[in-house]
Amino acid sequence: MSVVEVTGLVKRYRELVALDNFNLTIEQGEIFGLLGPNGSGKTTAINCILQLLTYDKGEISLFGEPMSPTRYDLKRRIGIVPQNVAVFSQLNVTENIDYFCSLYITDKKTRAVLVEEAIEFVGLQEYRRFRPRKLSGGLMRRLNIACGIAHKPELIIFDEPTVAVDPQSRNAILEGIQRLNAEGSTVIYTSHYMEEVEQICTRIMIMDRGQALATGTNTELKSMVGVNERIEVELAEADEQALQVVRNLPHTASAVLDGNTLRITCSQGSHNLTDTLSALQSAEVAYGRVYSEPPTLNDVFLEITGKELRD
Amino acid sequence: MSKTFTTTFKVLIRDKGVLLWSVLFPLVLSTLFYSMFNKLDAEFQLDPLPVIIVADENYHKAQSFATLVDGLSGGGAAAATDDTGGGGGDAGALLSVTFVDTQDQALQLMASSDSELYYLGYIIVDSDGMPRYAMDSRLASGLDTFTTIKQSIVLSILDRYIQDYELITAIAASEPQLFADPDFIDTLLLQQSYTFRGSITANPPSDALRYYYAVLAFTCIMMMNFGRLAIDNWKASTSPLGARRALGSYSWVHSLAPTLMAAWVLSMACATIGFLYIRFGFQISFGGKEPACLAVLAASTMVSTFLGALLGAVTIPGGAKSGISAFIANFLSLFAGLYGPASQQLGDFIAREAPILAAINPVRQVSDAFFSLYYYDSYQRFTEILITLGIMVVVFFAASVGMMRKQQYKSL
Repeated sequence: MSVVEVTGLVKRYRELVALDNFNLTIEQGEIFGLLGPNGSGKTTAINCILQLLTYDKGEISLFGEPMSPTRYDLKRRIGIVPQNVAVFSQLNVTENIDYFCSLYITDKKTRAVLVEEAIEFVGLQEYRRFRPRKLSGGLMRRLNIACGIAHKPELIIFDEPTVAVDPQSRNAILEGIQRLNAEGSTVIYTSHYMEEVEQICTRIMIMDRGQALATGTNTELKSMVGVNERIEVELAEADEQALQVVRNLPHTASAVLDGNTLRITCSQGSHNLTDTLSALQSAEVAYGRVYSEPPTLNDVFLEITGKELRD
Repeated sequence: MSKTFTTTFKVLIRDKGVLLWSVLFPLVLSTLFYSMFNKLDAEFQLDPLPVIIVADENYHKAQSFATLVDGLSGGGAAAATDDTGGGGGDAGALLSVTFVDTQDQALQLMASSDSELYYLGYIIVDSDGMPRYAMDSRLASGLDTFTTIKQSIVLSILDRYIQDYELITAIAASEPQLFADPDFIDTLLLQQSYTFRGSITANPPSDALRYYYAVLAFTCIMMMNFGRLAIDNWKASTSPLGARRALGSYSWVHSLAPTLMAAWVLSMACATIGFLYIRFGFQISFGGKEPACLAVLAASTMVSTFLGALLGAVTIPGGAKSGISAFIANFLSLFAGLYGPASQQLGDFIAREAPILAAINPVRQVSDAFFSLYYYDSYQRFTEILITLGIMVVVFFAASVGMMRKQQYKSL
């Protein structure tokens, strides 16, 4: 069953088209990554799905049923972790989680158990009585997450949850999302950090200018474009013969000599690195260090749009 | 709903900025007023005037003057040797008399008088039975207004006595037979009063009251901060917090009602603290109609809650809203006379010339409500004001709810 089904969504801010005939299908159990640069329409799409924003055209269904602002039964099944930390600065950690849980769960005893589980899940046990201003940026983000997941939603939307977070907290957050998914929640994860999306998402949509440019698994997306591995070889000395040897290899898409460094971009294929090094050894070209970089989602984005993801 | 109520209550009461402006600031302001007006009121109050009388042989011979002194001092004249140091007498006494035996003692006592008990001068009766008043030479230079008034009163009493004395003596000398007529004696002794002293208000007028009532009215309207903050945190288009709350699984009415209720209850509680502080801390009278005052507080805080909610629902930065609410409360207070005589005159001028403007000013209305309770026997004016405040509640409620019922926005 599709947990989220968006068809032909159009959202305009006066002259600006924020979502242009946007389509999205997310299946149960997925960690779905919405990847795109700032202003690409990720948050707008999320806010339309949640019915916070009006839209000009399109249909939105959640859990197989049409979504509207008054579908409180559907809202009960959704958890949101917004981009900006949205908690009460006047309440402590426990009070905040308890309040946001109360938006979905009325029974006090049930809530007490859920709040405790959420605190443990995000590792805030030692900070129960702390008010947000006394928490570090990473801990604050964890509180933000706890407030969104305490009621055990079936669909959790994480809108750029790792912005301005230290690497340690970032890893903790990403691991937590994977655990939530393993426990049965479907996850929508928006980010402009491609590494994160690559790391945790089972399926990814690349967005730009309100349009879905490509959708698929990590591997599927990379296979959509012609570029593949990038190889850099430091030569003992600048050698035109070495350049020619490499250019003659079948997997070489392009090759340039930059000082003593030979830069090679490979087309689709496997064993590119070993084939390149074998050819250089056969030609008796002396070389030192070798770097190999696999293709990234940025390469995909670059290929599709002609610009970097983090423009 | 109860969770939303308690949470909103906690959030508001823990917001130091709002508490400072809504509770602490009015308390400090009223304390300042008290320190200013308490001294002023004391200076306007006419305490018995401390005078020294030389009770020598001449004084005891002048029985009529001794009787007058006794009457004016309420029979509480004291000897200088008393432990009290003089100044006795009942509450209605005009003079606080201290008797000494000789003129030298009078001079000595006057020289030793200090600011706590300052004798204006001494009275000595001469051999003809005429009282003579000697003013303290230190008073001759630099008399302040109140001392001048007090001096005038003493001199006026003595003049009146001397005139009456000489008139009766003259009649006795020229037509002594008249004193055989009891009616003539009665007429002579009759203390005819040609003026009637009464009050057209239920309680005596007081200039200072206006300030206290204005500060209390200002406090009530300043409570709009609670409504503003509550809605700022509630509405999806005004804060990320509001957007998150809007995704809850209960209807907006279920969420909004306890939010506004918490803001109002807290406003009412804070306004009541201000009221009790002024009423019992400073003994400021509200005409003995305290329960009616609570009704005014309830209505006015409801007005401010919905006014604040209306402000909170508008999509402008939170810091600007705080400034706007402070401006509104202060501006409206200008016409309620909070800032002194000039603002009181301005407020009165507008109330006379453009009564509709005074009617739509909640600070003025609340201030007037306290006035009506203090000065009027009837509750008619008070009821009119409550109805006006009720209309304001309905208008602000309708406008704010109209803005808040929207659940989807064109932009966030």
